[in-house]
Amino acid sequence: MESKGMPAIHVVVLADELDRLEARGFVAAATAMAVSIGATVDALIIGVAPGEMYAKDAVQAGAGRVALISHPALMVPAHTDQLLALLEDVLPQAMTPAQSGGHVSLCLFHADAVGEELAARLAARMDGTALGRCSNIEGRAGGLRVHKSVFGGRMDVALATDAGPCFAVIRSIKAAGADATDDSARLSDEAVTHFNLDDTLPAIGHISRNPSQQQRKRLEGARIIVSGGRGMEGPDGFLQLQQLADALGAALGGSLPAVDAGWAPVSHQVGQSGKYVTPELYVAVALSGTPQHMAGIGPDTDIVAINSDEGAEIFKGAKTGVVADWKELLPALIRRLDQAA
Amino acid sequence: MNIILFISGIADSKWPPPTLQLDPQAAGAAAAAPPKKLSPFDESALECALKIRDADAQTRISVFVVGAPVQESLLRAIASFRLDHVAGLTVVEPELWDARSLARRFGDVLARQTETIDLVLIGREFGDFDDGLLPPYLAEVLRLPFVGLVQEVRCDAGEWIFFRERGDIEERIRVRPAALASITNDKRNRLRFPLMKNIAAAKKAAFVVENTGPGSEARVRLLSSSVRTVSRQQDGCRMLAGSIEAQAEELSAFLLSRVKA
Amino acid sequence: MNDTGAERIDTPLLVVGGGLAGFSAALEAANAGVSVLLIEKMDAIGGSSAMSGGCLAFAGTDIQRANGVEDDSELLFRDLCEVGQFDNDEALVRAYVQNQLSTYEWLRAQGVIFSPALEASAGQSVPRVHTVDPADMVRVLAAKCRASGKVTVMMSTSAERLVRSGEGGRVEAVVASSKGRPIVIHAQCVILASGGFGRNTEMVHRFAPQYDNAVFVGGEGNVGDGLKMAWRLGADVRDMAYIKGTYGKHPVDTTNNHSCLAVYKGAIAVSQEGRRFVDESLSYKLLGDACMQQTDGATYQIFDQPIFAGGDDRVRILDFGRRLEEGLMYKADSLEALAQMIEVPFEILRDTIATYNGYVDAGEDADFGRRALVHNHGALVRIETAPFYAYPSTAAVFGTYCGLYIDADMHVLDVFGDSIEGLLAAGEIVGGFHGGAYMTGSSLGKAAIFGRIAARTAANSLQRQSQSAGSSA
Repeated sequence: MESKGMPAIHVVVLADELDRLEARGFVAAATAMAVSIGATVDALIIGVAPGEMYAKDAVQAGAGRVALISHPALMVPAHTDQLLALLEDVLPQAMTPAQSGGHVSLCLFHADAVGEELAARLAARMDGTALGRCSNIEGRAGGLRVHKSVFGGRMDVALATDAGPCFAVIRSIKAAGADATDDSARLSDEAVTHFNLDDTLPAIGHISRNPSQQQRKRLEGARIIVSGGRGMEGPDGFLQLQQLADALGAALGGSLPAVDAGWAPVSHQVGQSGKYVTPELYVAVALSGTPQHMAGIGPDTDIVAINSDEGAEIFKGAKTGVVADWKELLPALIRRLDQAA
Repeated sequence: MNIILFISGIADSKWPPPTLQLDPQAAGAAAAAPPKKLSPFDESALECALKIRDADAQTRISVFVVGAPVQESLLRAIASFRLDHVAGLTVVEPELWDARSLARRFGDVLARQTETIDLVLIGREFGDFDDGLLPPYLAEVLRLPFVGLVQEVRCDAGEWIFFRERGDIEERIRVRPAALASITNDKRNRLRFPLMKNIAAAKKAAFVVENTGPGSEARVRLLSSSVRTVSRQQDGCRMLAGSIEAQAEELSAFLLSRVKA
Repeated sequence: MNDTGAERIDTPLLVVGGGLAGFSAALEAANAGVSVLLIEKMDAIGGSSAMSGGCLAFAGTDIQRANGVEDDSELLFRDLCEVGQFDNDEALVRAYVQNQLSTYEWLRAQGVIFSPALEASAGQSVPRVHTVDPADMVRVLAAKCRASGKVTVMMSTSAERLVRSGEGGRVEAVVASSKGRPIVIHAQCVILASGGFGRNTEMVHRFAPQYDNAVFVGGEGNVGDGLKMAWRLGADVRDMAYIKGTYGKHPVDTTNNHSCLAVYKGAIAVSQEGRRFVDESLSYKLLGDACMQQTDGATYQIFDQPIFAGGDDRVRILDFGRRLEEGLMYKADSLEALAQMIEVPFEILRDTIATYNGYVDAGEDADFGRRALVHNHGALVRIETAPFYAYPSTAAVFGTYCGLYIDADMHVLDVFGDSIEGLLAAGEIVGGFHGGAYMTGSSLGKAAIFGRIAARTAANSLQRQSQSAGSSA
């Protein structure tokens, strides 16, 4: 990848971790930031055998150049040590000041546990700056101005840095015309470079993986999420929520206290310190609606709140509200939904 | 086994978030901070360490409580779990914005430890400013293997076993000491209550608070801050009225219309 | 007074305080046709009542009959006097027992739901703890008050001074503050139902310095303001020396305010050193006193699986299962492991339990004279079957159980024994009823029963006033 005047920011897309929609939304979000920085986007798409359509999506979402990197030994879900070794071979050359056109160089990962770990560890290995989860990044006199939220989503801050290389994680956005990618369109050879790697990848310790007892619908990409809070009082309450979720074809989430209590698995925790979700509909049951929790729900999501306390904060964020005890409402609701099915 | 924990605490959300200082050098910059409490991740990390000690009474647990400044109430709360060493570590506010600066500072502190370190535990997010990047950054600075979002740690035949869930997969990662793990909240690591005996002892304890000077210069600085006040729903919330049956009827019709949409 | 610019409100009957006593009084008065203004200082109703264990002591109820428990007012009377160490006012105890069964029926008639489970607890010869959701009980009564159309409730309104018509005259008004706005409420009769002073550290220290380190539960508004207002008029007080914490409170947890009393199911209480220190069948008030004498005021209730199985999650003071689930209780497969968890010396704990089991077999506790599980009820049981349990326990001051000198009609009396005309009191603010210790359920019971008696006294007084006003017109 050679510089062509305009500085480039790098976007690392893990094809085995993100589905196409998320990946496209991620590149689109990065492109929006690149525009305000005055840079182009170089997308590095990495996977066991990432499909050509990921490259097409990336170009469509705004990437100027795409490297399609495959390695048959990559583990799924991702093993960060492997990805780290792979990226460490590629990124330092790509993120030199010359490549960045004199600007502070920037590399973006998707905001999830793997992305956060890779961003931080690469930053450390390249003596770089880890900027965290940013809602926006702009250029600022050769450096960067980043926006993020702190204090559990209760405060927004703007930070500045002039020292690169910089690493940050960002969330996907709903890319305009996202569904319109033409899979049959041909990609120019110029835009896409293929790398088929097969060198040995390292791994720490010994990893054994088992499918967990329960197969759950993922929060990521779910159109509808049913979620419960501390007010569900126990695992029995979450069984009812699961019934409601099943009736709606929805994924099941929970607040931090609900996960603490063991009613929902940690991979289904929604909030500032959990998953950021952007379903069309979020059904919040017995959930008080702390800023910490609300910070995990996308701005375009419609919230339906069910809470016995009419003064609960959740109603301030909800579009539709029901003041009711879930113990009475859920059985009546599930019965109707089952009948309609 | 020797375990080190770094704990930051978070501002108690019953209080409004503090005013952040744009110029930390300015006079009176140490504005009144709201009281801190342990974050759910701090608690989980601490409980993981205590469980390791339950299984092996020889385990030593040392905690560094980090703050700008360090709050004594937090030191006492942690000391009430009868730990081997609890000390404060004062940092300056700009460092909190910069994982690199903090991680290097912690690295300096650990470099001065005379005993071998077998495990470093830290909450998945470090305090009010971190998004989960500090723990992996710190692992690299310390040159330790990193395992993120761990829910349970066990010691087996001199090796660590880390348990975590990723989506529908349960992972069990075996690592030889030393290692660094970030801990996330889980039913298995809900923090126990301290014993009164140890609370009473902690009340009388004196703590060393290290103030190691400016440390490595932070590369990130604060430009502005604003407390978030906007409610997401400008038009207000449509409330479904009537009996439970009437509410269920209206809600099910609404939900079905959205499912089909 | 009106030159202060304070708004004037007139009401026949003013009730100060929106807990169980206040709403019982207001509803009883409303049902007698009296218009009532009830003021509550806090922004929520319920006060300490709503935070209590929800236990009410009644005798001769259908629930007792359904459980095969024989009980009546006379047995209740004897128990109340006995647990109060005969230092309580018989006239007040009499007033309680004579009105208790009708008050039980009355609460049920209002829609208060009682658990079918029945338990024996402190000071009870037979099981007579009747359990409700206390916050819900107050809400039910408040809703009935609203529905009566006779009761106005003003929230965030605190009484500050009682006003008499001249030296030694009737109480005729209350100076108050409503959401920061000064008001004067003129009333023909005032019932103080404003609770105790458990949240006033300085005032508690004055009467019970040994509880400085105890946990204070109770409504935040319970700072003794009602008591002070009456004091200013010369009101006398009783039972102040008997302020006691209740044993069985987890010393650290702040979400479960209720005591856990495994001792009454057969547990022993041991100090951090692993030694017993008291006859565990005593009233939990006396256990609280004994607990505060131990190191750090912290002790453990120690018990085994059969005793654990005797718990009942529907009864807050015996909800062992729920507390275990919430991580409040320690459980181990051996005594040694349990001792390690609570950092009590194992050998001493083992010997303490062995000695105690020997006493159980011999039928005589040579150390502390324990003869029953609770009061005179229940045979002692050995602690021997794993798993073993420990519940960390200190004393919590839930209420102050002492206060204004009242007669059996709830008139407040001054230091010379004269009635302060126009002033009645009910609930936690009154003294003289409990005496030396306290029976489970008698405090919440007293709130409802005395609240209703005060309302009837007020209604009669208002009727007489209107008759005399009518005849003089």
